Amino acid sequence: MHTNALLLASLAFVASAPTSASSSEGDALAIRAEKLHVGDGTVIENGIVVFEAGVITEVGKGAPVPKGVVLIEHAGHLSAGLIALREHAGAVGESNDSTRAVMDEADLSYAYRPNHSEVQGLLAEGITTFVLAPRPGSLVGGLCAVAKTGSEVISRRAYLSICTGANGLTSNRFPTSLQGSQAELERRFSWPRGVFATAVKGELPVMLDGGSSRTEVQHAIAFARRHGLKGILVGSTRLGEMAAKIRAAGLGVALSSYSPSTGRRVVEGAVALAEMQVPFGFALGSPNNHPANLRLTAAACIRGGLKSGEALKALTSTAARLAGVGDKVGSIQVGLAADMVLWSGEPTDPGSRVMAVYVDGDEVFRAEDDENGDDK
Amino acid sequence: MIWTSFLHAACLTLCAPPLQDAVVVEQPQEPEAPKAQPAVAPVVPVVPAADLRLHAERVYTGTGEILKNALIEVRDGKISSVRPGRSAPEGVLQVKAVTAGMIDLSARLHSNFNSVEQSTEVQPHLDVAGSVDLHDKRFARLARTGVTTVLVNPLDRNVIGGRGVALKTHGPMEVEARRLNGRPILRGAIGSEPSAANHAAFGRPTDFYSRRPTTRMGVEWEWRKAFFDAVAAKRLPEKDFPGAEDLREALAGKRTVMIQAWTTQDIRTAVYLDEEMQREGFGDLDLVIDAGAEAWKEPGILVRNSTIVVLPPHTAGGRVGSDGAFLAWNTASLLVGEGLTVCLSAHGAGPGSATLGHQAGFAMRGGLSFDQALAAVTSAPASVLGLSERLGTVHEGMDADLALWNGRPFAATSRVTGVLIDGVIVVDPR
Repeated sequence: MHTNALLLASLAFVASAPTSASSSEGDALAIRAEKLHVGDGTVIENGIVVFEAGVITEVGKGAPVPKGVVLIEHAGHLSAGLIALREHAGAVGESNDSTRAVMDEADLSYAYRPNHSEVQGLLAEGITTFVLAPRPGSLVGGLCAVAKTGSEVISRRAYLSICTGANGLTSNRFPTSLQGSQAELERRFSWPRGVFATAVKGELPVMLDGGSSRTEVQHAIAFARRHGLKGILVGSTRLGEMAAKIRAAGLGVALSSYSPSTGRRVVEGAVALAEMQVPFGFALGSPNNHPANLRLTAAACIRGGLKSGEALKALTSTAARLAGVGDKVGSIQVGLAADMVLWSGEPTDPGSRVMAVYVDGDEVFRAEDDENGDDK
Repeated sequence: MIWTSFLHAACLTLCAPPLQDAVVVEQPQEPEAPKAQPAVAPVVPVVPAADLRLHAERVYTGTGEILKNALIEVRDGKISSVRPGRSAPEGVLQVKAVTAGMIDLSARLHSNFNSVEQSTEVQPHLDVAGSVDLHDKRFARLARTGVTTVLVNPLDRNVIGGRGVALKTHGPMEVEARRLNGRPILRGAIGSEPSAANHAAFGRPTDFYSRRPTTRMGVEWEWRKAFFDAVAAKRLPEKDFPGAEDLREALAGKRTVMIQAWTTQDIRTAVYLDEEMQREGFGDLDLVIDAGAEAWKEPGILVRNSTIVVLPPHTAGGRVGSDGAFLAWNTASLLVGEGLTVCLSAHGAGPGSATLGHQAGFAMRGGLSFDQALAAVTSAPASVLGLSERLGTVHEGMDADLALWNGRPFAATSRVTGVLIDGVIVVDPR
């Protein structure tokens, strides 16, 4: 629809315009989009965002573009880069130590490989930030990192990853049973030391994988309440069914990826969570799930009744806040990182395509021209 | 008693609105302060109306009585009165027969392998409550067959598997809210299951869990060692281990030790273990044998140790369990004849299989009297759970857990058509 949507209309005025290369650090750049999604639900028509040295310096309809700064005209939408909560890209074999059930101080940032092809694959889908979490299989898998896709780790203590349900069990080390797992976690959190003490004080959020069944999720919520834990629940398609309890516990949610096999649970769950005003974002779990699933899940939720603006918040600003990096990424706001996506249309419309992606002001992805593509 | 009956009657005739539909659970009225009454009427405090009333041609109370044409009133989940010789009031739920809800001490409602802690053979401190899934459809399925209370134990792949949990089959969807706090039960097993093959119960066959016992002898050794270690740890605190206190409590008779033992060999082992503890002066186990199919072979050793026996379900060929133990039809009657307490169980029999009610009928076919069979599925298991004050018989003050029958209970032509649990109609017979 938006053939050649990215119009470099301002080329005529500037000597050296960025093409497929990035603006080097220190260079300022401005983009005017037909619709600029700030991230708090507001949309600015013909909004301009100006950024310099990787940080947004101006946002607004008539934001002043400093002299000599390239203004890119984008005939489409612009939003903050998407954020995947609970992601394993590039670290599948390195993010779960199978012989130890409790690795409380394990640091997921050491499993991060910014140049891994799986990580690069996230950029093509507009995912500029993700929470690198251990794969399920441990009771306490370690400290989740928040990484810029293909770039730096911006938080090394986003969450303490905990599995309270069957996902934490393995047949060849303690515990292999639910009651064993519960006894061990109770012990760790009832007489807390180290990161457990920090979590009990509410200073370190937890990423709680309760397991998939209703009973396991109930256990996880009760566990969080018992120990005063803050953070998010992950790993079940049934979380929306318990929105009221989750709200009462003051927890957030990372929704599982939608697939036909999950039926309508994820979709209905998102609507229920939004109604109960439970903050939620989306988990991805790539490479098992294609990076496109992040946005497609949001689109499925919109089809089920979630407001488009709520979905975009869940993909950007709410996710950033849940991951504790809301002051760095997730919105198009002055002072935040210039992480943004230029879309061919509405960001949450599955028919829209990613035209270009910026991380810290650098253009890190650009859609190829559609000379051989399906455009007429 | 007469006075309270009078109050009930007065209340029901004067104050209570007629119960058109017994399913409608009425909010009990707040008792009002006595008001000045006309001089002819006594000052009667208003008693709240019953939540539910039902009329039965026969109520088998479980204490040897059969109350005919009895009206049962339920209030706040308890039986508030049972009065025989009444005609059925208009609109009241009517059934042929009522017994107490049945209790299955071997309900096998654990979460299968997720209830097996393979990292240790002995784990008396772990509570199976953590692996109970109340959304499991088997709870509702059991409730439909008139089983209102179950004891859930871990899967018997450990030597000492941990604490069991007694639960109603219907109620709040949280284990802690539904848990019945009676006598604590420590569950373990003797026989081939804890030593099943020379590898872990599941998972890879050659990992480091190959150290689990691989023989019956090994299983027995783990039992004895556990108790010896627990006693030793009392004197030497540095030898303390998780669960040692649970084992010492078992030796002190503060919790019941329930051991699965199908065959006569394994039943012997369990009793000898208890006797050894007594001989050594360590204590005296309150022993219950679960799945004791072959208890009929040597009842004498059970009699001398006052052991309670839970029987597994009958099969057409008589062979039951993984060890092919032989359960004779007259086992229950023989053991009861020896003066032993016997409970029956369906031992996790699936849909379409014989229910606990059928087991009572089978045991009667083997010679058990009706009263004995009724006790074996109600009051006897209630007593094992330490809940005789609440469960197992039908009289005032007991939990309103009732099985409603369309004929004489346990008869081949009868079945459970209705169920009440804590006064709630879980299965409506109408």
